[in-house]
Amino acid sequence: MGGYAQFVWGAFGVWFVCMIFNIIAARRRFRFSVERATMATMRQQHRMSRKMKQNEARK
Amino acid sequence: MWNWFHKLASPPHFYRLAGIFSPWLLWSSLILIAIGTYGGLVLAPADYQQGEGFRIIYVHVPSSYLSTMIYALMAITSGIGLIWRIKLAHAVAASAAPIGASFTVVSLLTGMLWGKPMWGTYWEWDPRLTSELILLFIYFGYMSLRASFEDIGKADRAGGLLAVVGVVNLPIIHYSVIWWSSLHQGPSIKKLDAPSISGDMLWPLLLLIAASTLFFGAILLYRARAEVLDREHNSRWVQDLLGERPGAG
Repeated sequence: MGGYAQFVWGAFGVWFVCMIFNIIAARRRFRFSVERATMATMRQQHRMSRKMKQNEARK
Repeated sequence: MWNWFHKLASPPHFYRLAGIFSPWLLWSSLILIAIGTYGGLVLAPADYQQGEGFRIIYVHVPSSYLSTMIYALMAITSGIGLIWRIKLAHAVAASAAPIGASFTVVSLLTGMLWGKPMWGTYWEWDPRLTSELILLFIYFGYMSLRASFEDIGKADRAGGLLAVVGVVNLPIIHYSVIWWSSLHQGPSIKKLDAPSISGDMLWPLLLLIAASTLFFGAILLYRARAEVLDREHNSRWVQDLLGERPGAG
């Protein structure tokens, strides 16, 4: 690299680290959101089934 | 046109479309980045003045371009969100911010790595470098401001306003090398019909700019899907989706 190797490889290294970071961060963020939404859905379903049981018990 | 726009702005429709397009965008961008990197590092000839050191432009220019383009997109979507009260537009702006900030960091770091051998210093309070650093602070400010609100509506409005006001920095970044005496070189590919760079050197650069735009598109769609899920997790369509396929989304 004509004496510029540390700068050229350093720059390409920073670039690739940024891309890998973006992929991992986006995937983690998505997984976290799916887990949170799944928990909310389960809570909602649990609440609904409890309500249904209470209604049946009243009948 | 309006029908299409309204349909796209509907969260379930966007969520489904983004899920289809994001893997295609990601894989095509990664293939193009591999070709562009090979072209830039191996096929392009060395510059007669800067030698092999000029190859840094193959990562510096795409990241600098992304840093400003992403901010422009953020400001436009924030404006749309503020004017037409489209929540999805705010979700897109919020998802774009961390990607833009990361590429601004890369732009500054690769610029420093280019500056040391060419200018003899990593950093100079030059108009282009300083305005790019201010852009990074605006990104951080936008993300911090959003995070400081618990109410997502307030976060959207405050963040949106900051994004729209901060757009004033974009022409300053672009024209800084023309308006002021700057160490930073002027634009090399201002006009595609007469670029001041040889075709052998130009094609990997254009390819890498296009590939990084696709890469940004893919990551934006991934993040925007997550943002939509966060905002809509109590909605019927999310519960139907996750109730059918728990954990998959």
